[in-house]
Amino acid sequence: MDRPPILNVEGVLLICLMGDLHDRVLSHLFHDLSSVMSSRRPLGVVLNIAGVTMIDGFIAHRLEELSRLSLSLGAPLVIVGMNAAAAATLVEMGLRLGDIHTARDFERGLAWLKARTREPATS
Amino acid sequence: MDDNHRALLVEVLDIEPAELLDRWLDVQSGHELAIERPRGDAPLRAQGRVIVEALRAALVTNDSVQWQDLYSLLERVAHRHAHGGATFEQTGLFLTAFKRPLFERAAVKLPPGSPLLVELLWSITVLLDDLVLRSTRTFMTERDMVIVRQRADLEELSSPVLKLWDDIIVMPLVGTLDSRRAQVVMETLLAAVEHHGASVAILDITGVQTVDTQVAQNLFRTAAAARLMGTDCIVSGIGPQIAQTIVELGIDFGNLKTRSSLSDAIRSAFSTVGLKVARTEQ
Repeated sequence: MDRPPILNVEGVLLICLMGDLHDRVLSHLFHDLSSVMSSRRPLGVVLNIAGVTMIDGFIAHRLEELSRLSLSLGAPLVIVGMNAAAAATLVEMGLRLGDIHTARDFERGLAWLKARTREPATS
Repeated sequence: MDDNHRALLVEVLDIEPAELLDRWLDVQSGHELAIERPRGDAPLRAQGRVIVEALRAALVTNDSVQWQDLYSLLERVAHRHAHGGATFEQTGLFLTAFKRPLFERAAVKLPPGSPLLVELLWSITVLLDDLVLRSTRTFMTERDMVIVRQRADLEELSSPVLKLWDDIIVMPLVGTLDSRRAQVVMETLLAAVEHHGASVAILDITGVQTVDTQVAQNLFRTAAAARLMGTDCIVSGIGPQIAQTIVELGIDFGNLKTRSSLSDAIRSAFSTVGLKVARTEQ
């Protein structure tokens, strides 16, 4: 899986990452996401990492970059489905990913994005 | 122990072997640390007999296998004493009491004032002290194993995760949160988050006696890991005492959500997942 597909679901981009994440996969994703986002103008991005076995410092850094990229293109990014082992490892390494929003699963990530994009309109 | 002493000691053991055991048991009886004999002298006498036999065999051959046999025999004896409720002091006394009949026989064997006598007595003491230490070690190993088992039981028992509502789990913590337990707490909570798919996890520390910097750090880490998994973590049950300590120690709870009572935490959790409790119309 060199190029993870970027799906468009009702104006929200959905990306599923699986297995071992290589540098190549993430840099492809970085480029693909930026071009898709500028053409599609989505409400937000849901990055599902439920299938990712291991997250190291490098991957964590890449995830933060993706989040910043998404925000800079005007849509929030939410990471969903991180497993217990990966979360424990990240905290062990002192990485909190403080700027990234997280949700338990795709549904809740989507609900958060919708609530968030609705807010400015109502207020 | 040199060959000469060993040969002498074998001769000492062979002096009136039948009375040797009697004397050994006599010396102990009446002592406050004597092993209780609810079933008479027979079991202790039998143990004494096999120990004397094994000791004699080891002294005669001076073969490492024979010595090993003696040591494992002592382990079994200590083991049996431990299961019978005896303490290691009692087993220790049981073995050291054996010095007395040996000393008496050594004094018969060698003329008074002989320098060899002192050497022999010293050899006997060294030998028996070594045996006592070995039996004590057996006791300690057993006790350590019991402690390890109990600790595992305690860790399991004291870290339950309860599903409070759809999407809300609670983990009441009781006792001391050392780094070892904090690790268990974190793993258990994260596994529960994964299993239940909870949106909110409440860590209730009402039953935690003291909160120091270390404990606060551990709570932070657990909350941070839960957040990475997309779960809101609330720490509840922070009483006035603990609140004061936290402030005095200068611990910054930062963006960790804290509530003083579990009910406040539940209210907060309900509002996070969009639930509302309402009184029914009577």
